[in-house]
Amino acid sequence: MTQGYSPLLQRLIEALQCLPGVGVKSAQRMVFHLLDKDRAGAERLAMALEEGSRLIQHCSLCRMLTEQEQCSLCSSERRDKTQLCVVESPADVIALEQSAAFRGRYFVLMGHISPLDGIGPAELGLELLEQRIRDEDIKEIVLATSVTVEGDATAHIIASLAGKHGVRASRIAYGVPMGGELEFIDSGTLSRAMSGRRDIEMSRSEGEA
Amino acid sequence: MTERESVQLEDAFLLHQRAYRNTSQIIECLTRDHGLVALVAQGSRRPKGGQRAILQPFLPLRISWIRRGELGRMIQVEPRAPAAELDGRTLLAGFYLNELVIRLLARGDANAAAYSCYSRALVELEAGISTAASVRLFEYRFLEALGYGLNLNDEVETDEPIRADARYRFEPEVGARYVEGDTSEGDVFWGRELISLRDEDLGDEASLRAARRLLARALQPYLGDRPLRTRAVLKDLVAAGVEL
Repeated sequence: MTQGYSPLLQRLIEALQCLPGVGVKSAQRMVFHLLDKDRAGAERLAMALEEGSRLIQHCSLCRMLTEQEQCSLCSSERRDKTQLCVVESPADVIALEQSAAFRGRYFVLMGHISPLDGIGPAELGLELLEQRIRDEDIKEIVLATSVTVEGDATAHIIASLAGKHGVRASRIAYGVPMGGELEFIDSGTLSRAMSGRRDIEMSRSEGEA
Repeated sequence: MTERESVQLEDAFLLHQRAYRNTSQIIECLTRDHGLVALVAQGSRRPKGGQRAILQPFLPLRISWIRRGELGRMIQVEPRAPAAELDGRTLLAGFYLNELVIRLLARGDANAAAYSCYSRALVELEAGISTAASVRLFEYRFLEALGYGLNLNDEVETDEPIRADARYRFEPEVGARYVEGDTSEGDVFWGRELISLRDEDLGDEASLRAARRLLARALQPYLGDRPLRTRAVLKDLVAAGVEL
């Protein structure tokens, strides 16, 4: 396909195709842009890639990607050490951090259980997770895996590990999204929203009345 | 060129899915009248208007598609009934069922018996009487639906009915052969154990264990040397101390 290009150029085009969703055409376009329009950007990219792939590892506690031995969230003294939130990907950690709703620490599975693909406890680092449950003073495991069949299975397995060590496990709520109108919501989500309904807390004065 | 097939709202279950491109999925479905069907679900993973909530395993679906050759294109999908409410243990059993179907059902085998076997197993798993027994019965009935049914009625050589108090060696793809003496090898079973599987009566622990041993042998020739991934993962989970 890319015959006719010089060897170096061809190598570059092929290398870029390792990215998801990037085929020959997109790779060519990227290469021409970098070489023609933005040499400085190309050098920054090359350096960032080289350094990143050499230095970034998984955090030894939570498996978040970081160039330190422990990521900043794990090493922070201000985080609540009694709560551990289990998520599927580093992006989930960032999303939760932006919501500012959680003050504890995290554990990143880097995926979810998927028996048909052979993804089991070892791939998700469950041994490390169990070690943390055992050794640290964790009071609650918050399961923030995705709301899919695989995510539910993953949550169940981790809850079972937590139960073994007498640690409470909770699952994030799911149902109607903010601004959601019921008639446009699929029936599965609605039925979960209904079965997971909760009492409306009245303000104190009303409650006493 | 193969003929264009266009199917409207056929009953189906999604067995497996993998991400495809940025916003699409390739889904593997068990359909009622067309057997295993692999489809591209375009844009199904888009955050707005995607069908990810519906494209889940164990949810009875109706799917429309068109295809030429192996890989088709999903046109429409809607839920047919609420999803089987599986939790933890039964969920993992469900994954096992899915892998068995994908591995054993030949592509192009429009096997309605296999479909009803699968949906029946989901109902039984949801009812939650005994996960292990439901899985064994599924294996037994599914082999039968595929045309590999076990002969647990008669001894293979003499054609005499299986006797409860005799012992038999089970040979995959052949049947039960009478054995003399007191052997306790892995492939030797009491007649009563064969009978309780045949009669689909796996209420007690002993016949359940025997059925497990027997069906593992019966499935072996069709699985070949590629072991089931779900089985390995389940084993790892048990080793990790997860209660299943």
